[in-house]
Amino acid sequence: MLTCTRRDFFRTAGAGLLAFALGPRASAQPKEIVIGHQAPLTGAVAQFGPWHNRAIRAVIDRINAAGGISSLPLVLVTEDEASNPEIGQDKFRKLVLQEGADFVIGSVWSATNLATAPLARELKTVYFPQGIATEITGEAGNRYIFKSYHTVRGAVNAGARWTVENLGKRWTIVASQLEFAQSQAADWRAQLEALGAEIVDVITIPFRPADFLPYVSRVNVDRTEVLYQAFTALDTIRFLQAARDLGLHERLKILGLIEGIDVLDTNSPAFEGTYYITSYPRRASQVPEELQELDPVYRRSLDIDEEGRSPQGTVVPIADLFGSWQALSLIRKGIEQSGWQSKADNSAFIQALEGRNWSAGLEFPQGDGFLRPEDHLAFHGHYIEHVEKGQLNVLLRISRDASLYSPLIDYTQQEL
Amino acid sequence: MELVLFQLLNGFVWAWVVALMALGLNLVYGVLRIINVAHGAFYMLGAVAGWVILEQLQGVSDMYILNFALALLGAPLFVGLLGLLLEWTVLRPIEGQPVITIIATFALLLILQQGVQLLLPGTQQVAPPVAGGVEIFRLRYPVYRWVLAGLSGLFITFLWLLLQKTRFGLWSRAVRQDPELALAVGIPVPWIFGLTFGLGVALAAVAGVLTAPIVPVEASMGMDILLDSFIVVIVGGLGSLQGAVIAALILQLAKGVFTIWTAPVAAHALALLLMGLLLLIRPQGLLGTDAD
Amino acid sequence: MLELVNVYAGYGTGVVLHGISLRVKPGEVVGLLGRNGAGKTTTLKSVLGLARAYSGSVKFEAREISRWPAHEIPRLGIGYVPQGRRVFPQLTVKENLLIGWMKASIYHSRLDQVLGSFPPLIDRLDQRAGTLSGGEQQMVAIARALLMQPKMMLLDEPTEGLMLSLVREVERLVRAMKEQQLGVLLAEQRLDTALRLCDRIYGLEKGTVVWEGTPNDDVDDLRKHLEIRME
Repeated sequence: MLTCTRRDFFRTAGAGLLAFALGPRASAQPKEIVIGHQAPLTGAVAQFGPWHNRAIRAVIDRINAAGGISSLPLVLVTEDEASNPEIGQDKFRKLVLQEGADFVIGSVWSATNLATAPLARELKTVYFPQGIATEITGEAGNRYIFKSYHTVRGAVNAGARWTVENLGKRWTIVASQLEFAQSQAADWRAQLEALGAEIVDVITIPFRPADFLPYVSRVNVDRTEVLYQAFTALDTIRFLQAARDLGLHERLKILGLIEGIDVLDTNSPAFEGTYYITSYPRRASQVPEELQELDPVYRRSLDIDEEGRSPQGTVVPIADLFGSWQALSLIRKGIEQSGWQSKADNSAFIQALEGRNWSAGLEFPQGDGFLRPEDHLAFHGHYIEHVEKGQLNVLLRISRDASLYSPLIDYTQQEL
Repeated sequence: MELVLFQLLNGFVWAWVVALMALGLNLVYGVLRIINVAHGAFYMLGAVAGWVILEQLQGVSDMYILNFALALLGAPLFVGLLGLLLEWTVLRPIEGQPVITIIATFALLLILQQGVQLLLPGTQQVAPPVAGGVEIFRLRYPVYRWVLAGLSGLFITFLWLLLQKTRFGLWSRAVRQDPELALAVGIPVPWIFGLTFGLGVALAAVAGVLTAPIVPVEASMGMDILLDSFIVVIVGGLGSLQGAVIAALILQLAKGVFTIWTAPVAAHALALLLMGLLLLIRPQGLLGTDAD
Repeated sequence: MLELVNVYAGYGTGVVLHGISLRVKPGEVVGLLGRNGAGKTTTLKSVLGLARAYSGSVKFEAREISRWPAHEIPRLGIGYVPQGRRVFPQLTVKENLLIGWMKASIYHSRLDQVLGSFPPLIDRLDQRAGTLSGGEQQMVAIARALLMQPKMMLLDEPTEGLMLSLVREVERLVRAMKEQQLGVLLAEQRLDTALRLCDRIYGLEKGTVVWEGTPNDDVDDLRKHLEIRME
């Protein structure tokens, strides 16, 4: 009891001090809305940070050109979190406490997201993590966390039925030690068991191993029909090369999430014939009819061509960028609906977003979607894509409902 | 059975890379009496220089194998010249002061690593000059790794010929045995020092270019292999070149065998433990006469 | 041809020679006598640049060489037979002989001639030098120096620890050097050897010259002065 009281005392005192420190700034009439971006500009996922930053900038410019949100202009402040959870925490604090960020769009690095989530609650700042580890919309998260784009479990659920029925029933999972990959291994295990498929083996591989071959050689080729792989981009290439060197491509089906190859050119023999669960087609020609009017607008504002490349010719993580794009669209919807003026109105903002539906449009070019109130997770449509002659082609479109799963938590019960 | 053969084969291939590294380390230690902590950074620099050369040649020539061969010669040449320069400017003034020399090479390691990190952040990928796998005795194994083992063996043979059959080699062996006497018979010992250091780090660069197609090329890439090379040098016997090759084979084959029963990371730890045991049995190293 | 004037020299920060002056002319055998630690070896090494000369001058054929890089000095024609039969033990006899700075073709043209003076080495050319007997190693060391066509030889106790027959052999070689007009600077502990071989003798003690003369002078004085052991 005593310790509890003491902790409460410090917490209250801390909050009081914080309020004192922030007092003059917080009470002033807002002249602008500050969007913080906790961006992985360096480190393991440095290939993603700059693209997200560019996407956020593009949307902010568009909103500001149209007069801002509720007549307030948006200002972007970016901090490099270096794909490192501790730096990510520091940078989140800096964004909120020093830069006065009202909303923060997070890194794609799941470890950073998980480390930042408690801070979002502590500093009462709404946080839009871009990593996809399932845990972020569970116990690890809280009511200040909004996931504007799928989690691993959503993507796994979306693709599970079709892949088990069409690719095979005996699976081997090879996954990196990283959170988002382990999340995939766990979620597939559950889904495969539910669908009556057999798990032959699960092979865990450290991040950036010196050599992939000793691991890949352990895949039981005779018993496995589907080889599921979960890695970050660079390890994906190395894994696929090792798999091809050992002749696995010819003997079994290789499947993964688009996140693993988001920034990779598939025009290499290592990718030929592999399958991916994606949330948006890389190539404009593969976009479904009802979204074809929006697609050029989306691509044009992010400077992505019809093949999913930047003007410099590099592959842009086109599907991944919806997360940041939709986060800003949700911020706008929340502010307009709740009449948000400052962080003091955060609870109204949060409640306005819980259970929000949207339909395809300029703000949501990916298609119709839904933000579940319990775990603040967005649900949207998916695709199965397949590499043929070096290019990703859509085999199947999967409806939003296929990805639904029962929420791990109910944030609406949490205090604000 | 296939898995056993496979892991042994893979260990065998890696052994040649580690042997190349260890030979460079050992050569430098034998002649200059310097424990070159920066050796791993020169390995990394070799891989990065190889990548840069390949990038530059991309538009010039379509023959990737030829480009790769140029990178395999050009990158070690560049790294070797850099080594020569660094020996003159950094190591020469502190000659004969072992502790300061270790600190200086550690500083070189940090400078090279951070420098590359700054100029070329992130990770690069180098495509192998030959892709795909071949099946030999029902064992499918990547072609490039056969090439890798072969080329490493070739470079080690070159090194052996250089040391045994040329005047540079004769002088280098003489300096290793008695540097003062070497001066007294007119051997240009300062040059031998510089060239040997350059040659040693060029061997690391050769290992770097050769492994670039199978590992991620980035600033921090030299650390794991540096540890292996140091252990191989110590277990093989400081200064003994044959010992280094034998110890490299033992370490990597042990790693391969252990991989059959446990995860590769644990196998690595077990293999290092085995090397520690070998050192307990033979503290002077396998062929540790300190000369050859 | 060799002239040291007031040389202070040593290793690191320790000074061993405190103002040594001496001269050697072509065809002259000059003895350097003294007990262990008197500075004989350091005197030879200061000529070769292996010990550092802090002040004073070392001139060879009128060239000041005290600041030269050590490996350049043998090229002037200074041969060195170090104390203790030093060879490169892991190299073969042949490699030991051909190790020096000169062109390989010169070596090969001279090898037979020089080996004529060292018949025991002829059959052992491919043997590792470390496996030879002490006397054979000394022959390798002397032959190695002679192969480089020196104008001057620095010999550091060349007869130390050798059998009597080999001592005579070494003495014969030194006389042959003199006949060929080589200057010889001979560091020696044995007074009898020095008296037999030398034209002039310097007595060294604690890094300074304490006696200078010829074998015809009163050497009892030198003997007493240096307490040199007679065999």
